[in-house]
Amino acid sequence: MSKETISEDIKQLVILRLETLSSDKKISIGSYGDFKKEELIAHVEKEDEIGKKMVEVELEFLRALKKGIITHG
Amino acid sequence: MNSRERFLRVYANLPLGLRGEIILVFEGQPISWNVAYVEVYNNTEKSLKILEKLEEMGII
Amino acid sequence: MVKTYLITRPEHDDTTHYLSKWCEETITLARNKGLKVLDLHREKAVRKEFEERIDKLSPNLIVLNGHGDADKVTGNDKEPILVAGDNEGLLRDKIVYAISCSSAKLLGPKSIEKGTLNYSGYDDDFIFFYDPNNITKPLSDETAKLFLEHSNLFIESMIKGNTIRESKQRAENKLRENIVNLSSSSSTDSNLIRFLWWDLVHFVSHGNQDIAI
Repeated sequence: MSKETISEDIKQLVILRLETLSSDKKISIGSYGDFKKEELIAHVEKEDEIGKKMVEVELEFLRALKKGIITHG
Repeated sequence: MNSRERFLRVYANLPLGLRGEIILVFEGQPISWNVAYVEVYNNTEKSLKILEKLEEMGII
Repeated sequence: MVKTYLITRPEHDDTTHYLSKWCEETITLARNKGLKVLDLHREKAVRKEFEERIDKLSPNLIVLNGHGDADKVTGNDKEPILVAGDNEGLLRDKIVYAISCSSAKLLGPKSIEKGTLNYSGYDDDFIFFYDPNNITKPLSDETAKLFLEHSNLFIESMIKGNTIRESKQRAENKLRENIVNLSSSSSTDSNLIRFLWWDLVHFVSHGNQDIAI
């Protein structure tokens, strides 16, 4: 994923989804460190490694939903 | 199964608490599962484009 | 024969602070169950201490907290303590769990090749959310709990003598339970489901699944 650019549609989608996160929480992303919501969004805008990781997380979940992961277990 | 049918099936299996989540930016606007459902259920012209985008992203 | 539990607990940033504090209850349980505990805490979570303890005391269960990569786990101040192609042979005949990003991707399989009985961990970044207002009392952090309690369950299940397979199933069930509960909740934490899902999907185990300590 690291060399591909993110489509504008997906980038905006991920940013909008991240906007819904609570501003008073922080996220620890293993090898990268700890971040606030606003910092994550900035990374997505920049399309750097952290930003791409967030896109990967969001898309993996959205794509998994079609398999009924929550109701089917 | 066509894309409309797949969407409706996915939507039916979504917990209520998740249906308000944003799944697409459509014509510059964020839309949720619920908003997409209204368009798709009513077979609107916009629903065709919505379904196409959701399919492209692998969400349905 | 007394079983031995070795755990590394660096504590140099928010992430390692949370991991370290959350793992404390596994140390208490291990002692209550009569295991010998080797707690490499803070500045003791370094390669030299790690290698010496394994060499001299041959622990049965090793839990590694810390940052990591596909080919390494780090300790205090992010100094590597276990590196693929270097010292993973130390893990021969041991059961290992690394709460460390991505190490199960490469280091895990490499260590199995070198005779590790089982290596469980994450094959991509381990993600968790926390409330910084709870930084001085991580165990009270209900948000962090969503992400970390499955890990304790996994360790505790192994300490109690259950197989890796059974222990992993319990841990995964806890993560799934949190996902399902949040999906019908009006809590602001309900939008963390996708990160819980990520951790669930990337929680993997290599080697023999049917062994216990």
